[in-house]
This record gives sequence, structure tokens and C-alpha cells, in this order.
Amino acid sequence: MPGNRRRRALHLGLAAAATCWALAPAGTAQAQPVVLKNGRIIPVVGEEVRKGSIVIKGGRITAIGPADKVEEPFDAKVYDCTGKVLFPGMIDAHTAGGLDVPNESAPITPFLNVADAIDPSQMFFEDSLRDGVTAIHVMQGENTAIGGLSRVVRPIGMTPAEMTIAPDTALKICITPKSGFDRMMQMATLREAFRKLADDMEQLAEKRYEEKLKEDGKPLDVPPDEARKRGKELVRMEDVPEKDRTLLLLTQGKMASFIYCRNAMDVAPAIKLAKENGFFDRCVLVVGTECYKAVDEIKKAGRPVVLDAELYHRETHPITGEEKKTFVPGVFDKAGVPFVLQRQRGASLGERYLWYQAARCVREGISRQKAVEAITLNAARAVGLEKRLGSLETGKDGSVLVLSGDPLDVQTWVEQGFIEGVLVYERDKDIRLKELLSTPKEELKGPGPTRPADEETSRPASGEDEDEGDRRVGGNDDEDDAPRSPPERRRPGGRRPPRPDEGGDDDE
Amino acid sequence: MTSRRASTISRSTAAVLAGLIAAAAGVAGAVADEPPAAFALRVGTVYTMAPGEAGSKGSTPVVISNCLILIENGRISAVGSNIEVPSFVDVIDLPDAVAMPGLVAADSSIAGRNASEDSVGPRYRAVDAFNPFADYSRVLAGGVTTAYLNPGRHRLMSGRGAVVKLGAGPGAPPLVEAERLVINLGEGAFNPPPKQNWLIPPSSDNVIIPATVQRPSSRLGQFLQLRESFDAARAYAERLRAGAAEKPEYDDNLDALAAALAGQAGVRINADRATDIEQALAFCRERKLKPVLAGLREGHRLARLIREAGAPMVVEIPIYPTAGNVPNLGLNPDQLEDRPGLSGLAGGGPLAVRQPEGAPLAELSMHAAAAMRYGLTREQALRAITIDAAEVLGVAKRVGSIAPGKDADLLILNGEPLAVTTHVRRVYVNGRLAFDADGLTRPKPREKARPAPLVVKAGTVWTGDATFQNGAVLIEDGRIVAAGQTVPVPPRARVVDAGPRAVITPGFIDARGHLGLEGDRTRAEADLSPAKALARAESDFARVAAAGVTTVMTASYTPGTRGARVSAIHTAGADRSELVVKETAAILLPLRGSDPTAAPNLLRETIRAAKTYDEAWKKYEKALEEYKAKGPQAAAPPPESKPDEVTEEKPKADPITGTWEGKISGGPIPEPQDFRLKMKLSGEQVTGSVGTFMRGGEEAEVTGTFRDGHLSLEMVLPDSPFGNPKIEADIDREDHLTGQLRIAQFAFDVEASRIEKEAPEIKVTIRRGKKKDGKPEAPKRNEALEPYRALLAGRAALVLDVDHPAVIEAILPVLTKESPVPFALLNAEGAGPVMSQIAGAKTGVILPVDAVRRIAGRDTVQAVEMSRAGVPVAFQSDAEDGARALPDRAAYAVRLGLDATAALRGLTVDAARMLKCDDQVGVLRPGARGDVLIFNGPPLEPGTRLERVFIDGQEVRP
Repeated sequence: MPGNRRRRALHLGLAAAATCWALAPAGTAQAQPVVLKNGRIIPVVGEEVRKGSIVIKGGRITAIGPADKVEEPFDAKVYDCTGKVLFPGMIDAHTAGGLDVPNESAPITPFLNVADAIDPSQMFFEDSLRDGVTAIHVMQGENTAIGGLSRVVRPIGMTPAEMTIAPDTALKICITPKSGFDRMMQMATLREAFRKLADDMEQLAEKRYEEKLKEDGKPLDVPPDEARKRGKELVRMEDVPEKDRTLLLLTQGKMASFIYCRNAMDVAPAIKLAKENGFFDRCVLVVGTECYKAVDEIKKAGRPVVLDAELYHRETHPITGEEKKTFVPGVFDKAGVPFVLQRQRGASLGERYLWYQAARCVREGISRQKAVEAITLNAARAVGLEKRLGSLETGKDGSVLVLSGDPLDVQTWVEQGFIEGVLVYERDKDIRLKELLSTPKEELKGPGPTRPADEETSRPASGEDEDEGDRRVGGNDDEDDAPRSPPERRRPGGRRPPRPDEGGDDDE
Repeated sequence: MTSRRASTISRSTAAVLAGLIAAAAGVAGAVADEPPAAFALRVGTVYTMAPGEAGSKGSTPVVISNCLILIENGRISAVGSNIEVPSFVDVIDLPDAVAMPGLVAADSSIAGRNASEDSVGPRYRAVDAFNPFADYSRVLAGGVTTAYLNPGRHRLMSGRGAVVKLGAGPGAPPLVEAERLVINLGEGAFNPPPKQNWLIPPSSDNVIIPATVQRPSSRLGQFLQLRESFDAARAYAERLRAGAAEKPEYDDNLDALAAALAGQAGVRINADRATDIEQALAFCRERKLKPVLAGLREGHRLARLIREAGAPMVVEIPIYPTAGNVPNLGLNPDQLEDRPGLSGLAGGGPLAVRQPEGAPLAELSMHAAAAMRYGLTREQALRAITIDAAEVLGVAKRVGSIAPGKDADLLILNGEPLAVTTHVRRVYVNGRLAFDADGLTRPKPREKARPAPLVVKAGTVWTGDATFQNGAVLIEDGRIVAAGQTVPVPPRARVVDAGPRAVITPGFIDARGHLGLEGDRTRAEADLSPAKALARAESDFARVAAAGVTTVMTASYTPGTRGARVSAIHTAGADRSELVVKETAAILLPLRGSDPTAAPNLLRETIRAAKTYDEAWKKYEKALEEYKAKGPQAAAPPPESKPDEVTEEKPKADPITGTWEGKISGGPIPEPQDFRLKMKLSGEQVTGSVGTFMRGGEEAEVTGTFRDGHLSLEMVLPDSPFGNPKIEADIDREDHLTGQLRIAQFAFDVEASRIEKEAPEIKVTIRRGKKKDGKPEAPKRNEALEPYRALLAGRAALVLDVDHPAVIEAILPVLTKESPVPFALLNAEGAGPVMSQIAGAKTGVILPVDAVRRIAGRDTVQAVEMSRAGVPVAFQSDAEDGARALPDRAAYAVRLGLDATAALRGLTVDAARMLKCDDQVGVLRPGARGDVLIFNGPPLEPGTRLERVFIDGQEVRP
């Protein structure tokens, strides 16, 4: 029943929005200045402040520093953060989460835009908010050659437009073959796309030159080759077919790109392709675990690097079968390459939290500062928003997390989340979390007739069956592989009495 | 395989330089993997594959013995047996190895086949699918260092190939990035799938058009399609070139084809059938193309035509040694032939071989060897995977032979190239060690390094039992796995071929020496084991090993009267576990100068004591087995008689039983001390307790025997550093004994009288028998008697040092009839008169050190005398590293008339048998230790040199 979870999300999400977030509708500007007072500030850039305050006004941080030195606006709502940690909202720099379907079947689709596929009601966004991620770079999946445009969104909002922080951030390019392709085909397809674009542009230039001459009433004076050269400047964006525009911007160096390289062998072709087609200077490399082998080439390229959510690379020797395990961020760190960490979508344990990923880096010997940067500032740089996100500094977005403790402590949670000065998350009002953490009611009761109180919890489930199938027809969410079958309901009365032939051992 | 530094000064300079470079690069470790800028290999045999002095093509490849290859900056800079190597250059010595250039695979499916449906897809490049980061160890282990990448044999035009190095590391650029266009003729490329051209986004202008059916679907279509594509490409190029008014619509495949034709990329045509080959040649003539022909299963039918065309060839060798890719030919009479004829093709263009699709690239050399079946000469077959293959691929300037200026791509083999048992031990690519078979056996943590398997070959292999001409020995993990006419050669084994004149024998044995004792002459009883004193092999060991003596039966200089242990030790090894072959090989019992009447009694008594001890253990073991079988609850009732149980026989008035009191005096104690002894006699066994000053009056257990008025007692003091004190006393009159008490080297006088004749209550609790849960408890371990248990079980031998014929005559019946145990005689100088008895006892004699002895006024050579009587002999050094003279002494014995084989057996198998070690040493048989000697001629000839010594499969170097 693939729709179950989604629908429940919608129900509860709406309920939650109605209760705690109704006061501060997401996407609207901050109405009242906010002061986060007396917290331990970890600003990522600059020194830690032991007891400090942050003032957020008009969505931006206007003051930050020791609590006694920061002036509080008279009309501000003051939050006492004594004993709490103030940390910039974390950034997911590369994910296909939140998309209806993460990939299109055609290999070259630069004319697509994820804005058309973002599903704001997905649990993914709510989970992100709960996990302290305040900016998500939603991007097409890896099953493509040239994918569509991505955007950076907030994990809150009712429409993609409302969620958007920055639209049309980057184009997805995959060097690793899409399904049904091999590398010969993938590379030929990629090369063809750029060559065909160049060819089309030449044709267009020639056409524009001829048009110009006609307008000026002059006869055709140069051979076609020359006309193609001279007409280059005359081409306007509106002359370019809509489907080619993004790719053209890319080759003109006006568009960022995220190039996916699953294997080390993909790195050199990726860099070559980017250099040959003019988009190297704004590219970001998204690399798989094996790419630690190509760390020298990656370092030489000097472009931002987004690492795989899996932090270890395992391989076996082809003859001896000896196993080798490599901690991938460690290799990049040793080589002096700054990197961005990703989280594992669909993981139920630690890897789904960015801070856990960073903490694992610290455990493997990477400095705390670098690990923290990998989930904040470096990620902001990768998505081109380092002027707005990634650290707590005056002038930056007021996206601040109020954490219960150190950001790299496994027992820490998000108490409150502010996005651009708007309080968007409060743990003590998180209905679903409460539901999850509370003891099931049935567990507390003995067997007996169902009381009216039970119906309250069982109602959403029965309601689901009615509108089954109306929303998710044809949706093959091939990357979201989380189990969707509803949890088996516990038997009332707890343990089953043993059958006489079973003896005393409990087989449950 | 050792490495030599010629100059330490330049070494340190190099280190400083390397440090500077590393600092400049700023990346630690990046430099570490780099090979040294210059090094040299000295290899036993080198197949250069370069043309000889005459320089004529196809001449016999030059084979250079003891050849130096100088490598500088990844390239070969000099080759030859007498080239100058600068003093600062490392020389790696590989005297047993064979070197040849890295193999060139003229075809491979490393790149896989392109996944597109394009029947004509010149835009696909195999190099895109090459993974320079992959671990090619398996392919390198097969010797292939250069490979052609095929974009696929499944489409009429599947793309462009490439030539790459394997194991060159990720940074190395491909040798040829875009090689020829690949054209595949024949059934394999027929019926490509229809091609769907998706127009995205679909609209009223961009309608979805039906899929295009592609050619060829039969032979009719393939050249039609080729001509069409070539013409279209030419037209496309012309329209582009001329600056034509109307630019053709961009077509990636036509663009690529036009570029390939303009750039004279050439074509590689895969064709097996004669008809396809013939048509292909005609097409190439028509289009003025110089093709490479590949496949050519029916090429021999058009041999003249192909030879005249001069086209380079890549011939498929249809053998299928690895499972899985054998095609079923069925009954179709029109199928491809399975036996190509290659002799007719040789002599045209350069000829390379390839494997059928699906065969592992690592087995390329096996396919090349099989090409000899189909008509290639050995040289041609070798060239077909080296220099000729490089020529086919157009990379002969870089790879394919060992010659100055070429890339340092070298194979270090363990035998002759193309032989079935030959394997690659090392691979150098661009001067970098890309594969090392020894590197594969890297030990896991807490595991000892396992050496590579070793195969030793020689003209004569003498195993100790048999002789094999042109035989070999295989040693794995230090043990012999096989010895004989042929032995298996495991992959990546090290092979030492000693040559036709060489002789292999088992390692020699010193049947009695003192190596490792370092001059320690303390008397040793049987509880001491010489093996325990060993720490590690010092230079004295190395001296003995270098002489070919690989095993020494070490025993104390002065064995005690109850015998001393003899340990078999190796003369080389990393630690004690490797040095000790057998901790208790034998017990040496000194009967030199003893009384012919007392000697057999002593022997009897010793064996009897041992038997008693042994039986207690056997009983215990049996009880333990029962206990284990039945479990703790249902344990058997205690056995009827146990050592600690008092037998219920009526205490008779015997001369021993009772309580005795007396004095101990003499020795190092200043004043006589009282002691009290309680004893009980049953049969000849005495048990009891004693309270002496040594234990502050506390009672200790005593055991012993009483026989013929003589009392032998042993006090059991488990924590005594001197071992158990022994009391030897005689009942000189009724109720009175006198004798001696010995502790270590001290002796005390003992005198006592019986004060009580009642059977005493012995207070000592002897913790034997069973615990409460019925689990039997082990008898007390007596180290002095332990070796005798091994003797009784036949695991050790008794070596009797004797000199008098009367003694020999007296003891032989005890050892052969009364209680038969394995034994040998040591020295036995005066054995002449009893020679026939010795021969009849089927025992051997360890000869005295002196070969010649004057007996009764004339020279006697005991070795000859004994050997003639049919008594096996062995040799002893009676020295420490003096054992190095042992082989020469054996040779001298031969000079004095001993049969050479008997002498050789005496140094090996006979000595091992006498000392019960023939399962470990002395014989080259499976399971024995890998001790092998290689002589350059008959062993024991004074002029013969001992070339090499292997102990536990490890070479011993002086």
C-alpha cells in the first residue's frame, strides 16, 4: 500500500500546520524581530560564543555576539536559550528526495525543472525539518545523462514556489551510465548533446546574420562559414529553442552543474567534458565512494566535492580476496580537499542525520571544524548560497537551529528551528514525534472491548482505504525504498499464551 | 630475490632529494608509490623478442643468459650481459628467473560491448569504457600488460578500439586513444535491433516515428550498408568542408565516421568465413583501406590472398580450456572450422593471436602456445603475443620487446615462456612493479608470512629412496608436497631449475652432534631437552647449514646414566618453532665401559620403570576416554588397581616396609641431618614418604624399586629447582641401609635403620585417581620418563653408546626379544666379533668420528666393515659447528671403500631412520620438511660444489 505513509503524512502534516505553524506561515516574511538569547553559539565561521545572542530581523541576522553586548530590539520576541546550542541550519547539498519521480527516462533532458516534481507533502521535508536541515538542494536523480534544473528549497511550505530559496540552481550531469547504457554510450550521448548544440547554434548564427542583412537591405556578402562567425553575437536568447536554453547557458558558463561520478574512472572524463564545453568553472563534483582513488585529479580540479552518504569504501582483492576498507572523507581530508557530506535517504538510523555523518568524520580523525563545515558552509558553497547560508554571521539568513546540546553529540536533538527568522519547528509541539515516542495505548490496556478512545488512532487508517489509489497512480518512486506496509498491529493483551505442545519457551 | 645497494652515499642523497620533492609536492605519500628513477634487473634468462644482430625480421628471438636490464625513468635504457650499470643503481638479482616483455593482447573484451542498438556506430569509443582504476591483478598475473580494447563484435560497425596499458596506474594516458574503426562481418553482427529515434519533447512538430529497421540481416546487407555509410560520410564531410551553403544536419555517427576516414584511422575487420574475408579484401582495395584482419578462422583457405595483401592479422585460437564459452557446433555442415591452419598465414603481415570471446585474458599465453598446434613455430607464437602483436596495434615503438628506448614492461617468469607450468612471478609496467606474486601472500595479522611455493628441478633427483632423471621437488609452506619425475607447478610458484648436471639430495643429517649447546658440558638426564635451550640460529648454525648439514641430532656432551634426550634441530630457521624438528628424537644411553652383566640389567630396569610409568598413563587415558564417553555422572568405577591404592595383600615381614630413621651427611651440608622414611613394598615397587631437612620435615612422596637388596628411590619434589632427589641405597644388613642421596650434582651419604616394621600410614596425599565427579586425574608427569613413553610408542629411538662386543652381545637380546624398542648403536668400536648379531638385529650404527682405527695392529675401516655386513651406518660429528666437516668425512669414508650410496644414505635416510625422524627429514617424500641440497655434480665427489641449500623451503645463504 504505497499511499499509506504519504497520506498519513498529509493528514498529520496538515494537522501540525494547523496547530503550531499557523501563527507563522512559512514563506512569508518575518513579522517580528527575534532574539535568541544566552545560548552557546557555534557560528562555523569565527569563534564560538559561550553565552551569546542572535538578533534576526527581516529574515536576516542583524547582530550576533556575547549576550551582554548585543542590543535587543524593543519589539523583539526573545527566546531564552540558556543551556542550548545555536547552530546554523544544516544544508543538504544534493538529494533527489521530495521529488515525485526522481528521473525521466530520456537521457538528455536539460529542459526539465524539479519545480514541477517537488511534492511538498512528502514526509521527506517534515523529516528534514525535524533533523535540522533548513535548506535542501533538490535535484534530479542519477539515472540520466543531462538532467533537469534543480532548486534549493526550505523544508516547509505548501507549494514549491513557497518553499524555494533559490530557483534553477544547477543542472544535473551524470558520467556514470544511466540504466541500459554503458560508458561508451553515455559518453557518446553526452558528447553528441554538446556537439549538436554547437552545431545548432552555428546554424542559428548563420540564420541571424542573413536576417540582419535582409533587415539592412544588404546582399549576402560572406561565405556561410564566415556568416556563422559573424552572426554569433546577433543570436538572442529568444531565438534559441526553449529546450536548448539551459544547455546553452551551461556552455556559456552561466549555469552551475552537479556532475555525478560514481566511480573513480568517471572523474577524468567529467573534468574533460566540463572543460571542453565551458562549464568547468561552475561545476560541482558529486562523487561515489570509489572516487577516493581519483583524489589527486579532484584536488587538481579544485571544484567543490559532494561525497557519498556511505562513508566507507569496501573492496576485495581479485586474487587473494583480502578485504580493504577505506574511510573516504579521511582521504579527501588528508589531501586537503574540502568536501560536503550527504545524508542517506531512507536510512532509519544514524546515516539519515547530517550531524551523525559529521560526527563519524570526527571519530575517524577529521578536525571538528572541517566536519562541521562539511554539513554547513561547504554545502552552502556547493549550491552557490555561501552569502546567505552555512554560518551564523551578520547579514546571513536567520536560519538557526536551537539544539539541546553539542551538534556532534548523538543525544542532541533540535529543540527549535528558525528559517529566516520564522520559528518553523518546535520539538515540544511536534505531534508526530510525540506519537512516535509515546507508548502505544493498546500496550497499556488489557484485553477488552474497544473503547471510543481507540477509534481516534484507528480512524486515519480506515480513512485511507477510501481514497486509496487516487493520488499515486503511476507513481514509481523508484528511489524511495522505505517499507510502506503498515506495522503489524499488536495483539491485545501482549504475549500469546503458550500452546500446550510448545512447552515453556516463548517463540516470539 | 635480493636487492643490492651499490652506494650508500647516493642512497642517502636520493633520500634527501626524495624528501625535497615530497615537500615541494606537498602531498605525502604521492611520491612513495613512484618507482625509483633508475634500477636494474639481473635475470638468469632473458627473451628480448628484439631482432638479433642480423636485424632481419622473423629471426630467432635473442635469448641472453645472465642478462642485465637497466631501467631509467620507466624506460629500458640498456640490455645485455655485460653492460655497465652505474654504481648508485639498485640491482635486483633474479638468477632463477626468465624475463620477457609484457604480453600484448591484440584483442580483448575488457571494455565490454557498447550497449547501443546502432548497427553503424562509429561514434562509440572503447576507451570510454576503460577503467584505469580497476585492479588488473588477475590479468597481470597472466602477463598481459598491453591490451587492445574492442568496442564489441556484435554490430556491423561497433566503434573505435583503443590500446591501453594495464597496471600502469590511473595517470597513464592510453597508448592509442582512438584506434581503427571496427567492422564485424558475419553472423555475429546480423539482425541488429530496430532503432527508435526519440524526439523529445514530443509535440505535433516532433511526432514519434516508427522504429527504423537496421541492416544487415544477412550477408547481402553487410557490404551494402558499409558502402552506404562510407558514401554518406564522405558526402557529409564534403558538404562540411566545402563551406556549402546548406550545412548538413548534424549526425553524430556520420560525423565520427567522416572524421575517422579523414584521419586515415583505418579499419579492423573481424571476419571468420572465407567469403567474408575475400569480400572484405575486395572492399578494402576498392576503398583504398589498409585493414587489420581479425578472426580468420577460415583464413588458411585464402592464405595466399591474405599474405599478398600484407594485412596485419589477429588470428583466433579456438581452444576453450576455461569452462563456459565452448560453442556447440552441432550437425550443421556449414559451421566454422575448429582447426585453423596458421602456417600458411605466417609470412604475410605481422600475425597476432587472440582468444575466443569469453576466455579470460590472463590465459593469453596458453592460447599462444596452442597456436603451435595449428602451425606456428615457437618463435612465431611468442612473437604473436609480443612484438608482432605490438606491430599489429601500431605500438611497436613503445612495447613488445626488451630493447633500449622501449617502455619497461617486463615479465619475470618461473620458467620458459609458453610452457604450461610457467607462471608470472612479477610484472613491471613502465618500470613500476605492478604485480608481485610474493606480495599476494602478505601475512594476515598474527600469521607468519607464507613463502611462495618452490619447485626445484635438476637432472638427477635422489630422494633417499629413489632416483629420478630430470625430476623435480615441490615444496609448499616449508613441506615437501611432491617429489618425482614430474611435480605439479602451482600458479605463481618460484621455480629453480638447477640444470641437467645438477643433483638434488635431501638435506644431510648429523646423527649425533652438540650444535646449540655452546660448550655447555653439564651432565644431562632425560628430563632435559636440548631443543628447549635453543633460542635462534647464530652464525655457527649458518656455517653448518652452508655445508649441507640441515639437521643435527643434538645431545648433551655428558648424558646421565638414565639416558639423555636427543633433539633433532634444523640448522636454519627464524625461531625455535622452526628450528626444532623433533624435540625427542631419541634417548642416548651411555653404556660405554659398563659391565657386560650389569648393562642388560640397567637396560631392563630402565625399560621396566618406563613401562610402569607408561601404563599409569595408559590407564588414565583409558579411564579418561570412558569418562568422556559416559559423562561425569556415569563414570566407571575406579580401576581395580591404581598407583595410590594400597593393595590388600597381607603385609609380610619384608626387608623394606616400615618406618626408617637415619641421618644424611656429607656434601655441602655442614652437619648431619635427621630424616624419617616411611616405605611400603609391594612386589618390587616401593612407595612411601620421607620427611627431610629439605622440606622442613614436611613429608614428601617417594617412589622407587627394591631389587636384589638394592633400593632406588626418587623423592617427588615438584617445585624443586634441582629436579627430584634420588636415593640409591643397599640393605647392607637387616633393618639397615646405607647409600647416597643425590640432588643435581651434589651427593650425600645416607644411613638409616628401621624402627617400625608395621606398614606405615603414609600421610602424603597423592592427588591421583579421580576427582569427586569421577573425572580421572592425570598421573604425575615425570619429565625424565616422558621420552621413554615416546620410545615405547615407537616415536623415538634408543641410542646406545657402546664400545665392547660383550656389552653389545648382552644387550641385543633385551632390545630385540625381551622388550623390542627401536634402537641404534653409537660408536660400537669393537663390534667386529658381533657383526652378524648386529646385522641380525636389524639396527644401524652411528659410526665413530675416526674413520680408521688400528685394531690388532692393522687399520680397520669400521664403516666399510659394517656396510659390507649389511648394517646401515650414519655419521656423527660429536661437535658443534664442527658438523660442517661431516659431508667431507662421508666422502673420505667412500675413499676408504664405503659404497657411495651407502654413505649418502648414511648422511640422509639411514640416519633419519635410526633416529626415528624419517617422517620429517632425510627423505624427499610428501609431508617431510623441505630440506633440499643442490649439487653441481655427484655429491661426495670432492670436486663437486654444493650450489644451494634450502631448509624448510627457504634458501640458506652463506
